[in-house]
Amino acid sequence: MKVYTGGGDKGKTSLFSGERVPKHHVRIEAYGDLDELNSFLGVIAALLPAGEQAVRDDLEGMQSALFLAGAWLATTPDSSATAHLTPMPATAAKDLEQRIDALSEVLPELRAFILPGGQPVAAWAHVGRTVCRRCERKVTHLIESTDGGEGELAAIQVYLNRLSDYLFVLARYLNKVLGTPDTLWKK
Amino acid sequence: MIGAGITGHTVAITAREWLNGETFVLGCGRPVGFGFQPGQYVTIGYGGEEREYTLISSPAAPELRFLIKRVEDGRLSGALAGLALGARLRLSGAKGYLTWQTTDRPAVFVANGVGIAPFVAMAAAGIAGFTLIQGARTPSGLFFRHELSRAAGRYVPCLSGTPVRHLALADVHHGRVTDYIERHLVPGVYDFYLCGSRSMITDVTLLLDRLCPDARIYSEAYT
Repeated sequence: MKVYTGGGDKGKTSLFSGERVPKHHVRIEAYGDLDELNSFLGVIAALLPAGEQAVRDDLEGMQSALFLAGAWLATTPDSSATAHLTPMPATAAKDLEQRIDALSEVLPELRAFILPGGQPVAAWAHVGRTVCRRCERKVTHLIESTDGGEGELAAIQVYLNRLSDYLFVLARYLNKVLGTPDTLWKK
Repeated sequence: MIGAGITGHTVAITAREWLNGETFVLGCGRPVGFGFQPGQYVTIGYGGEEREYTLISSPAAPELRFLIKRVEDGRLSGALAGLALGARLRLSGAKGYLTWQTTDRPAVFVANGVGIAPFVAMAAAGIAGFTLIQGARTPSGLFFRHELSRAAGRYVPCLSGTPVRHLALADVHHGRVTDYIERHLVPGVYDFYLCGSRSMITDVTLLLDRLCPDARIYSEAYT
């Protein structure tokens, strides 16, 4: 049995590229939040109503993509360890746009802000959306605080931007199929 | 019976060579198209049991070789220790990330027990000039020390369970690998490769955090 380990009990951990860094390092913060997002996608998938296999498949694909993204976040760009990494699929963001369009087809046009909530699974999708936005902020911070020219991080940021949009639409879609209308914000 | 959980290859055992009373090298055929990097491992399956073992052969070698410790009550290692030549095993593709990184930083390999396996493969592949700190309790646990000492720029065997008066080996450090590192390693910016027991990996990592905070550490622990 192989176990990847590093002595983490004193507040440091290893990047995939080998550096020992504090556990609050900007890369650890970023992929930690990505891990949190991935877990929320798992919650949503676990709570999906029957008959939503296509959505379940989509979510599993997104979870796999987040693993790829996390590996890039855990690796400094000048490291030869990048040879082990799989680039984000070139069509990843476009694929999300197609899924957003497909879910949106059954939704009424939105003319006002809506309150996050409704059915539990939809409420979790809203939570996932906000965590996804936080991930995106961490990635943009990482891009700015490192060399700023990491092409893969730029692709990941675009992917997260689309994924948060997807989760917003998914929340509305799930409320719709479960018979709960959007709750509009009342000033 | 062949392990069913692995998708990959089926290979026959071709050789078994005991290195001491509990550790042996298992040889098997190499499937067509099977590729790997030195340092990687595969999952071996037999009789419903599966376990990961690191390749010790060169990527150019016609056969695959593994360094295996027969674990007490270990169902797969016990079977692999006793199966007849020609018995067939399931083999996954190569996996793992403890592979050679091409950098300007000097490389230091630290291993104990069968954790030496990835470094045997690297040496077999022609990687040389590294520092190797190899730990074992007794001289018979310093697997492949002759081959490794030829490839290494500096080779440090560390014996932790053998009284000094019994040592016939020259230049042996009497103590654990951590003891050697703490007393003798010149602090610097290295690439450390650690492989072996979890306790060794943890102890060395925490030690290096203190002694060589700018080093890079790649590690793989055996359980």
